[in-house]
Amino acid sequence: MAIPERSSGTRHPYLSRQDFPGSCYFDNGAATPMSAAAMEALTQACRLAWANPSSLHGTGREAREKVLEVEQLLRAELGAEHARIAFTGSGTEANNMAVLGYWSANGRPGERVIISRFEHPAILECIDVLRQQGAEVMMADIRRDGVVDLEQLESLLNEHARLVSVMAVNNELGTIQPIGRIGRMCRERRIAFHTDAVQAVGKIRLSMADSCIDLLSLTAHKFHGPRGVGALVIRPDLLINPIAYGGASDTLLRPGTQNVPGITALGAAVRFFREQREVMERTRRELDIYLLEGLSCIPGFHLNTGGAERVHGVFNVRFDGVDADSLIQHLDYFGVHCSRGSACSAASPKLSATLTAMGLTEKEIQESFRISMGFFNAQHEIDWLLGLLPPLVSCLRAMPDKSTHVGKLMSAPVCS
Amino acid sequence: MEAHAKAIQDDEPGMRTLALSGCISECAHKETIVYYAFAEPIDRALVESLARVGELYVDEVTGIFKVIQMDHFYVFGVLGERELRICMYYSDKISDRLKIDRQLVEHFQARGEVSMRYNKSGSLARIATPVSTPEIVLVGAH
Repeated sequence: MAIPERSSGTRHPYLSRQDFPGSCYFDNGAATPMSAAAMEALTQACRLAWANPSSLHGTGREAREKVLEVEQLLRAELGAEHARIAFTGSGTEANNMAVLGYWSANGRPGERVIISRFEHPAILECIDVLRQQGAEVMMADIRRDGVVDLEQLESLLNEHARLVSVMAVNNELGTIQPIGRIGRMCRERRIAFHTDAVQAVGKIRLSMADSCIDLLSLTAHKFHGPRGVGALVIRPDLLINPIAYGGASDTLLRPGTQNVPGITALGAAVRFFREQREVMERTRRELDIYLLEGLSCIPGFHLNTGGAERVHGVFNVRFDGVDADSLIQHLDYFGVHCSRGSACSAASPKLSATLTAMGLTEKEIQESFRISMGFFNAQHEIDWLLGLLPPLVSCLRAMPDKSTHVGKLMSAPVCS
Repeated sequence: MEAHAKAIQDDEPGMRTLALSGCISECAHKETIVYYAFAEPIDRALVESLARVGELYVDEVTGIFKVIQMDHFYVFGVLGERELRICMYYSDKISDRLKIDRQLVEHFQARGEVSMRYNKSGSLARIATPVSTPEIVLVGAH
């Protein structure tokens, strides 16, 4: 049976890429575009600060000056006067260094480490190593709205607890965690507190002093800096061992020649959001309200985090009866780039540990995906997304997906 | 966003490219996604030819079509656009892809002479057609 042709004049009458020739990047939770300031700092440092900063001669000292400037900037931004800073190659490495390095220096067999169930794999995958080294690892539960259950967490803080690790902002959900309260609970009990602030730096104001944070991880590519540069910020009197060995590991904590151009560009990215903070916060807030209002009008829409406090612009959403993989593919076809949740596990067939911990059903998890906007997104991009979603959702809901042979057909199978 | 469609170019003298194919993402555990980019907009005849490999659904509002072989793959695209994609999730992805390749080759063969280029895996990389010799205009013949 032939499909009848539509009369279409000069162009076809359907959803068309021609209506939006560019692309909309809504995956800022995975990586953000570099700011012009960070790019300029990177290239300039490649030209002028290329020496080994550990060298004692003048060229080396110039490179070292650049690193020290960025260290000072991070201390000021993070309310971490006198903190020790270990620059790393990623947030993952900083997280590994925090948990394994702290345990190696301070933990004894039988002592307890508490980790929240929705930590990044950079923390969760340390659990086996900690257990092999004799740690008792306990998991902090997550509430249905994507926030750590403080009561349950507090119940785990016994006299054997040594370290707590809870992220500041969840990477899949954007929910802001009560790290100030957790930090104070830990400090009262002399337990070290690490927070993975990879998704928080540049988005919310952080003070390690006020929130009683002992260890904080960050990475530059989440706030318009370069990829491949992160840092672990360490309270000055805290003992921590290196997790890799080589030249200068006693003084630098992380052996190897420091990536001065990358560190300089990280500094430029920090300066950029410090200078633009108010504009950024206002822009993100306005875009957040605009998108949420539009999404809320689409039948079957759910914000998985309900009314929990989120960083502006990050949404973990689902539409009843629509497979998220399929929707993401169709959005990508039309130039809109979103992801399931964490880019680090996008290729994994496992269900999201975060959404599972929140208590979503398997079906709800299969329907869930993340929209993460950034400072460089604009309202016309949201308009394109909001224009696409209602027809796509309606169409995909009606067609069978990859695994279930259900669904009402919008037009009967034409051939088979 | 016509990144793949823009890739259509005639890279062989005397031949015009009709379709190109390549991998968008390859994953052993999840979907492997392959694109086909066409020189001309996707018409209903092409979509109908794909219906031989699965069940065809067309949404007349959006123009989105989907060809599904349950638990193996789905093909999707939009009428009038120049790209379609296959999302494959069965373990033997290459045999699924070859089925779709074959349908597309047959579709273009039915329209005229075509030549194909294949990847090392045996999957389709390009379909092209010979450019017909232009008519010679004899100025002043009459």
